[in-house]
Amino acid sequence: MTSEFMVPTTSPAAEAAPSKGRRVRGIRRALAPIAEARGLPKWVLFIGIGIVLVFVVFAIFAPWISPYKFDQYLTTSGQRFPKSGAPSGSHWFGTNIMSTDVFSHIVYGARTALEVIVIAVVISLFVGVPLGLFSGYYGGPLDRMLVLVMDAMFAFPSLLLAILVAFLLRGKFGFLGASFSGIMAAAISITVIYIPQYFRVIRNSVISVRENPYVEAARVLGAKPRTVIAKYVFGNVVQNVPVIGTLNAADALLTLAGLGFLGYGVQPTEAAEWGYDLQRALGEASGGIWWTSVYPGLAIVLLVTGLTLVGESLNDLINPTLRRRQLLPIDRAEMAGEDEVVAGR
Amino acid sequence: MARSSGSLPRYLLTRLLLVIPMVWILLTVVFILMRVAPGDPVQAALGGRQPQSVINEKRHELGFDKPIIVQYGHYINGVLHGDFGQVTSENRSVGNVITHEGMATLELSVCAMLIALVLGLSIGVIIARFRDTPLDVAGRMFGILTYAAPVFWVGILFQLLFVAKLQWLPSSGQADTLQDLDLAQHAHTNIYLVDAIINGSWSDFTNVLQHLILPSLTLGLLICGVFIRLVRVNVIQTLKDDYIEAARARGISESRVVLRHGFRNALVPVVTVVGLQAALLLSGAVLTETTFSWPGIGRALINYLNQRDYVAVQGIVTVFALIVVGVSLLIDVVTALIDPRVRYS
Amino acid sequence: MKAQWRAGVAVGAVLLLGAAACGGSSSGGGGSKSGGGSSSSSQSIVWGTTDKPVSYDPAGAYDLPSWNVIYNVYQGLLRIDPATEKPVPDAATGCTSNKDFTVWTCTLKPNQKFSNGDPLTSADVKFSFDRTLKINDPSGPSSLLAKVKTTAPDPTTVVFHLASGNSLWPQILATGAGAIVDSKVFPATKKLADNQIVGSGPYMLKTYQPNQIAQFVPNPNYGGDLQLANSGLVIKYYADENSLKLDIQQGKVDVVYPGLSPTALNQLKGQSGVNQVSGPGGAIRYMVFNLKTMPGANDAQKQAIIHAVDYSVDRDSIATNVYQGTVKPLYTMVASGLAGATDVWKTTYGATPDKAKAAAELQKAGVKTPVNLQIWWTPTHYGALSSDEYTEIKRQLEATGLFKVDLQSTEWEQYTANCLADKCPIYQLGWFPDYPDTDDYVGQFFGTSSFLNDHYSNAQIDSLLKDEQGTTDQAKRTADFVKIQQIAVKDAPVIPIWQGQQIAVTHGTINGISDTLTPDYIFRFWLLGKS
Repeated sequence: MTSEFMVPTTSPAAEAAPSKGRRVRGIRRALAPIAEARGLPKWVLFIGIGIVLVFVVFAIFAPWISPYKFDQYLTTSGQRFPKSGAPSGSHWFGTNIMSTDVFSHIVYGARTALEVIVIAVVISLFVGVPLGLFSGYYGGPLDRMLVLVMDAMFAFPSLLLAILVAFLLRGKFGFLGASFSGIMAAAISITVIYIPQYFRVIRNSVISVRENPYVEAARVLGAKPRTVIAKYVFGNVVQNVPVIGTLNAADALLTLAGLGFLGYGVQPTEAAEWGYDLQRALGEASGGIWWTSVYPGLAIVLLVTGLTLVGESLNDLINPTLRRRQLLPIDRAEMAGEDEVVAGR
Repeated sequence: MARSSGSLPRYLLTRLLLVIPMVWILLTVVFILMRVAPGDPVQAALGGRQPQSVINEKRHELGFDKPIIVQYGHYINGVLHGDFGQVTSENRSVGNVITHEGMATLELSVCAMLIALVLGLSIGVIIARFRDTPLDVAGRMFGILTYAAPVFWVGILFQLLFVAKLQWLPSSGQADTLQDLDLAQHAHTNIYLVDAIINGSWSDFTNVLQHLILPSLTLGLLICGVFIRLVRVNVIQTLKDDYIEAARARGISESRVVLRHGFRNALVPVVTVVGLQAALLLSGAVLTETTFSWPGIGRALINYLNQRDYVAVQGIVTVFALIVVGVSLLIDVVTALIDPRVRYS
Repeated sequence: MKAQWRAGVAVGAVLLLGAAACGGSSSGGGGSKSGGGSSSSSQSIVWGTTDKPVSYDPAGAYDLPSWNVIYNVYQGLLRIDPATEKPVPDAATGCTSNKDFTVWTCTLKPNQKFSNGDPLTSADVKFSFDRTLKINDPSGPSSLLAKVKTTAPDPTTVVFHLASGNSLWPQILATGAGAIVDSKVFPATKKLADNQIVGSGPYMLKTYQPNQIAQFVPNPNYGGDLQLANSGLVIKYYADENSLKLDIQQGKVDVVYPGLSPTALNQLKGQSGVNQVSGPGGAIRYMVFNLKTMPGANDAQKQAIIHAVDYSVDRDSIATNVYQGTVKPLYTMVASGLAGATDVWKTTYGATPDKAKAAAELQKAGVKTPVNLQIWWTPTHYGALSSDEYTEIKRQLEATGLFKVDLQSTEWEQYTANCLADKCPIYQLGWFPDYPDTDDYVGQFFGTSSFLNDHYSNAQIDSLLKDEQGTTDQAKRTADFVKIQQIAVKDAPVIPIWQGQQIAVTHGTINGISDTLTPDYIFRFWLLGKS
């Protein structure tokens, strides 16, 4: 029915449906809000991007950044790491109950988190968006059926659905190799939750766009449905995706942490995972051992916040009703060569 | 409230009829999910203690190897009669779980929702009024952070602070031993807070309240973030409308404008979102109950899942699905009553 | 709308104010008056545990947490004496059998009553055994009763006709499977709800909130000879050990058993007011090699691989590093403390890893190294530390350079379906006894139709088992047990790893706790007293 945040059905820039020659200018106009916006949204966006980039760097360059492997419990000379040892020179964030280094777990955990999120979001996109597109455009009984199913799944508590699916998929991906099977299972269980979201938003978007005169005009002129969708509809609805994508990524990370906390996520022998680390740290927290729970928790908070900031700012920037633009001086000469009028507000 | 003849009842009827296929889909999905999982109660109980031949024999004696379609029919038939099955790992029915643990979760959820509403609405309105000031940033960051911080991590931090360090509040459970026994002996609704009032026992009431604060605060914080952002966006949206402009032009103070006109209309989507948050509440309740050892139905579900008590899991998930559908129906009806535009869609 | 908002704020404020006002007040526990009943709260024991019972109705219970309650609320014909670990009279004065142990006759004490005043007669005994078999609950103990036929020729005599002779029938009568229920209250074909149970034991159930709290008070109609050291017991069920740990520190519970992980126990050491008491446990953990699917081209090679692993495992390291001293290394497949238990694995393979001997074994049989071992374990059934335990085993085996270990795990359900159906070459298993007799170990593991499903069969062991099961001469049985272990250490495809200690944590001093931490795992409420 309603989504959590207001997403625009169209934006004035794309509404003008530029023809081939104006494609480039259309894209530039779509990005214009970012350049034109002043004040809060821009630097919030950059902070968010900054945070996310730090974790992406952690994830990609984990073997070089992390001082030890995530499951390493011995020094090079064969000495065991201390168990739940306090932060020290050789273990910046201390060690946890498995005698592994906490900082290494943070870094490798970023890799796990991003692997799962990227897989989940990509699969959700590739399933949810086309489904929403075709369902919204063609309508009919198939559309109604899909809406019912998607609504049912959307309404269901997401973590519970993820738990059930993760639980059932355990061990089913063994053919992908030991470390990847858990990640795949977690990713699929998260995917299942988010497909309905993409479906709903895209479908609603398509439904409102398809009533527009230029779309109808194209149809009347005899354009095939595929052309209509690809050329006119898709471009308008797809701008919802980045916002939902980043916000879903944030949510997916929380779901992954929740799964890990309850024990249904990635197993410790496969990869480091922040939620699982928190579960193991739970028992020691009241004994004064804070580093095993504070750091993984902070990592989750930071990355989710970063992704959310990016998503929120994108939303602010793309949603014209929320956008505040500076008043720009109107250049009459430029205006003369334009078909549209760009209005400042 | 003016009703045009026939459109509201027609809408309600359509909505009600839609519930049936949605419920049926959910039930079937639940059944399939549970059947995909391996094992049965006999295997669970005797595996590892008796030879497989004995297990197979017993499984046959008890009818656990009947064909799937027979089991499905049995399940649907049971649900239609309000029989959600017997818990296998315990000596009770799923209905008994609902009336005991379910009430505990209800208590927790309602208090959490109250806290979330109070915090969310008040903060959301304030920062919408003072948009783009540092207060706004702080408020939005607060909203984001409370959502980004995993609810179990926040719970641990609260326990560390309020329980271990300050020793103001208890760490777990619904009540202390004596009060627990007293309320168990004189149970009416099984909602401890309500029962304490009915019994007129002040010590029971305060004890239960003490135990209720941390879990409901933790869960409430998780949800208030959504409300803050939603209220803020909607109030800002509404404040752009012409009649607001007119009110300002009439010389009404900004605060009055925001509160009297902006806030009211922003509340409409909040009602819907409260319903959507029901799903988030259930997910959050599972994690909160695990962290605080709150004897609710989320924790029970995880326990049953861990024990592979599929009949119990199936029964509880069925009830969840029905609750979710029921709440969504209720919200739609309320929204239709409030917002006439909905009925015509 | 605005009014609603105002109301919401008001309610919220009231709640918060109320909470703050009460925030500083003292916690419930001790001191304050309890509700009715003849027990005063300062004399009753509060027992906290994370173990959940399956059923208080004996027909539906085969697990330890349920039996812990059943032992105290019901009587059996016999019970186990904690000092001697032998069956002694409970509701019956004694039981005798015929020569081949197929017919057992027990005589009831006269004039016994249930807690609700109903008389206890042989009809109730027959009813109890018949209904357990009739209900045949998946979680119930009917497999322990093995199709016994019960008759009650007169009100004080019960006769059991066993399908096959079993000299250990008295032991089985003393387990939770032999609990006597009130035939007037319990239905014959289905289980009774937990909060309605009626028994004749030293305690009766007074209040019950499922999975949360259960209150037991002394049974006024108890006709047995046990003395109660307390005036009641409350069980608090916890979902996680964190809250339990905090509560024992604050004195909100008196006893915690079992339910604390080694980490938690370590943290509680040295806390003021908190004591730890330990006793020998009967639970063991071991590794099983499936002779069909394990690596090795012939029998000799398979034996060599098993022996090489025997030489490479470091049990002390597991006990110390993984379990932090809460378990003891186990050197035989029998819990230590039971008759005939001898540390044959220690005498044969040594207590510390010996890489040279391991390599020699493999070389002698012509096994190419490194040997690829696929070892299975399960994260759900045997505790969260199974993961650490098998990671440690993998580290130990690979440290010898002779093995490459691939760890696999899956949920218990799938695990038993897989590993007990020849899909796992090497797997983790555990055992806790039904009754404290060595036969409940060696008989289960080394017999030809053992549930281990390791395809092991040794005719000599089979005949020794038959021998010890057919006699009540303890000396003879002990000698048989020793022989069985001596054969098994060289021959059987199992490797014992550790034996659990029973560890109870108390707040303050609880008398009698160590008396009940015995290898029979029976938690006897009546022995616990506060000083």
